[in-house]
This record gives sequence, C-alpha cells and structure tokens, in this order.
Amino acid sequence: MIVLSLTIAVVILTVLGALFYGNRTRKGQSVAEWAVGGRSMGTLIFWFLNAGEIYTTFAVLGISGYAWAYGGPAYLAFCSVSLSAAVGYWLTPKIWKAGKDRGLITQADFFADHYHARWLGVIVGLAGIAALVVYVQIQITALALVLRLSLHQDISATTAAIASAVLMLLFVFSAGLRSAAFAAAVKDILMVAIVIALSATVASHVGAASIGDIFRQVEASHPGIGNLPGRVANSGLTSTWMMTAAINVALGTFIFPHMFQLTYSAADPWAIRRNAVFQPLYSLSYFFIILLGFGALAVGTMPPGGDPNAALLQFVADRYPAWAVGIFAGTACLLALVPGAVLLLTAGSIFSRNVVLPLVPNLEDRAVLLISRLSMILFAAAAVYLTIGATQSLVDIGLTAYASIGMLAPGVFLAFLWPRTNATAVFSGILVGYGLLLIPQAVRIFSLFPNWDTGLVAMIANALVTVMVTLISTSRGLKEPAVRTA
Amino acid sequence: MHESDQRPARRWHLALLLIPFVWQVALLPFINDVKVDWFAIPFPMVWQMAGIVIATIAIGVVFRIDRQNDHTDGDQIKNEDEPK
Repeated sequence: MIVLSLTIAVVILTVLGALFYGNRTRKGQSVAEWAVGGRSMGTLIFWFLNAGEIYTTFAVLGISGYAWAYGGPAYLAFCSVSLSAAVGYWLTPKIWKAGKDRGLITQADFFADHYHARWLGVIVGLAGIAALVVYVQIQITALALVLRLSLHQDISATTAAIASAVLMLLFVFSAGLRSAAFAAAVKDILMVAIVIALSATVASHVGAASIGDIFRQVEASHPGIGNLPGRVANSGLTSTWMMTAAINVALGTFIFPHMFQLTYSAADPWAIRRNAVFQPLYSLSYFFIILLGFGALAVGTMPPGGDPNAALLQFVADRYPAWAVGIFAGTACLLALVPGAVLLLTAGSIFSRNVVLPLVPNLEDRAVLLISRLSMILFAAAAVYLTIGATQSLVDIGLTAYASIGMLAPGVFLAFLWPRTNATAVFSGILVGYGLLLIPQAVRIFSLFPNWDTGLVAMIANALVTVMVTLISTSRGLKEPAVRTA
Repeated sequence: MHESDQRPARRWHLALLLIPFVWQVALLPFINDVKVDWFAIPFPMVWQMAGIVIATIAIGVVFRIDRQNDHTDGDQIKNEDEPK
C-alpha cells in the first residue's frame, strides 16, 4: 500500500505543479506559444527540456536492463549524449536560425520550406510520426511495467498498456510545452536523487563489500561481462556494433521531430550551444544505472518472464524498503509520461499541420486543433498495439526508432552542407533507405556489414542515393532551370 | 562593426568537435581488452566515462572560441551568417 500511495503521490504532485507552472508562465494562446514555447526558453529551462527528452525510460529501465542482460554493451549510453552534443553544437544553431527566420514550428515545415516542396513536408511528416510512435512504444512498455509492479500484477499486460496510454493522453491534453518543461525538471532531479540513493546502498543490499566488489562479483560469475560483446558471446554486440550504433545515435538524436522542434524553442543560439557543453556531464549518471543493473545480476534478480526491461524494477522491489520502491516507481512513471507526452504533442502537431492542412486547406483553427488531438489518440493506440506481444529490450526498440528517424538525417545535414541538394533527391534517398529497413531481402546487403548497426547502413545508402540523384538532376538542370522541383 | 567582418569566418576550431568521436568511437576497439584495475570498474566503462569529460572540455573550448569571435566581431549570431 505504501508503494502504491507514494507512486501516485509523486505523479499527481508533479503533474499538478506542472499545470500550475504552465498556466502561470504562458504568454498568449498562439500555436508558436503552445508548440515551441514562444521561442523564449533560456539556458536552464532549455537544459531541462533537453535532458527530459534524452533521459527517458529508455535510459533508466532500458540501459539497466541491458547491463543486466548483456553487460558491456550498455556502455552505448555513455556515447549517446556526448556524441549527439558534439554534432548538435554545430547542427542545432542552424536549425534554430532557419526556424526563427522562416517562422517554422515543425520539422516537416523545415523540409517543405528549405526544399520548396510541400509534398516533401507531407512525406517527412509521416516518416517522423512513424519514428515517434516507436518511441512512444518504449514509454508505454515501461509505464505498463511500472503499473503492473505497483499493482502487484493483478492486471494483464494489455490492460496495463492501455491504461498507460490513457494516462499519457490525459497529461498531453492538459499540458503544453511549458508544463512539460516543469515536469521534466522535477522528474530529472528526482531520478538522479533516487538513482544515487539506490546506488549508495547497493553494495549492502546485494551482500557485497563495496561498489567495486559488485563489479568483481559479476566478472567472476560472468567472465567478460565488463567488455564487449558482454556476457552473451554470440549476441553480435561487438565493438563494431557499438561504434556504428553510437554514430547512428549521434547523427539521429536531433533529427527526431521532437528534438528538432525543441531546438526552435530556445531563446537564442547561445542557449543551445551552452546546453551542448553541459548536457554530456549529466550522462555520467549512467554509471549508477549500469551499476544497479550489475547489482541486480550479482544478486540473481529474475524479472517475470526474464524480461530485461523489468530487471531494475524487480531488483528494487526485491531488495529495497517500500518507501524507496514507491518513490522509484513514481519517478519511473514520470520518466515515461513526460517524454511520452512531448512525443505525442509533436506527432499530433505534425499530423494536423503538415499532413492534413496541405491536403485540406482552409481548415479553421478549431478543426486543426481537434484533428491534432484525435490523431494523438490514434498514435497512442498504434503504440499500444506495437507493445502487445513484443518482448524486445527497450534499447533494441530504441535503436529501431533511431534507424527509422535516421532516414531523415541526410535531408537535414545536406540542407546545410550542400545547397544543391533538392527535394527529389532527398525523397529518393528516403525511399531507398526505408526499402532497406523494411524489405526482408535486404538482409543480404546487411550481411555484407557484419555486426553493423542496420540503421547506419541504411542511412549511408540513403545519403549516397541522395547525393547521386542530386548530381544527376542538377547537371540536367543546366537545361531545365527547375533545379528545386516543387 | 570591425574590418574583421570582411574576413572569412574562422571555423577551423570546429574540428575539435571530432575529438569525442576519436575517443569514444575510433579508439573503442583498441581499449576493449585493456585490463587496468581501477576500483575494479571495467576499463572500457572507465574509458567511456572519461570520454564524456573529454567531450565536455572539447565542446567547451569550441564554445569559448565562438564566444570570443562573436565579441570581437560585434555581431550577435555571426556563425550562422556564413555565405551560402
């Protein structure tokens, strides 16, 4: 009972605080205010917004579960933020500038505007939504696990997933970006505090002499766990895998429509750049998350069904006092709810603005908002559908989302690197890339790159096709002046 | 506005942003089997955590140089205004 009431208290208090904060600081009712916070977020709040979207259940439950199941491959987490920040330092001020100069709200706006092709905006919008739905799937999977833990498994996995989606939608419908920023700040502070508190006492809870002793114990019982490929020798999670996956994550992070859109919300490019400097330091906290995963392994934690995503939850429930379990479960709920809400908000705004409006112009604002909200229900339902029967690790689902969003990366990078790139070329690259990811026969091509992250292979193919089509179409363009096909 | 506005933007320092990729990606296969006992933490884990600190320093240095260029050029967001 203590667990459940503390879980609920943490969630409700944060949500109420967020709504209060959002209402007090909101300036007007414009779309720009609702979706990109009026482009006025200073360094600190921008930092929390970014952290809030980077440190989701993927980071906490996913990475600890990966450490529990594989060991060393979980170090991917240490690469993800620092490498993304190095790319983002160069890329995101350019995105911000385009957004400010041209009044852009979504990522699809950027494609439509830069490439002078509204139809490309529609395609990019749909592609972005697909990747967002996969990302929402991660949050719903995790939220359902937490619900089942707090309710002692009295409900089925499907019911828990549906309940999670409903909770997420309720939060979305009542909150805008400013509320999400507040809730993100609360959840990040809570998360770091609870993870450090759990880690501080982890040695005594697993019967080890010290933190170092936990590493010694798991290395003794699972030789090679601390290196790549980790404790499952044939997992394919080799050095090659981590190098390619790390690059793919670094290139893809700011291509996610919600991260792209978040970039617009900064007050000035210095807030973005300063954020890139300090954001990586926060990812040192993955040390504690991986440590807890190892601790769970050392003590022989066995989550229901051997599900790695539940390893940390099970470990905490088994070994820690009820109040710690309650606060941890509540924080884990927020870790899923807040980013999930931002993901759905983004997907909904892209759908109404970049998919429906170009096809049905002259819609009233009220109709646009209604379409946006109804579509969020549809996307949440799609995410629930994906979770049913899925047994993948959150990290693997995450890498699927990165593979999917990576298909939009060449169009973004080339927009700033090579002005000749045109809409047809970008679309050809997207087609080929998705073909590789979706057509089963493409396995033959991936087998040429053993242990590579498939997302990076598809992204390289996509980029090559984009460059080739640009070269072909612009050399012909000497005769036809329509270089940028509309 | 200074005369330095006429000069091409000094952007060589952006190459420092590659340092995290060298440390955390390119050198990864070479450090995977190193056995150094540092509080019993696996060496690849120590290496990646050091990489985060290195990345912060590298990006921080780029930030300071950009900030300085910005001040001497007296142009608010000069870096975005490179010629297409």
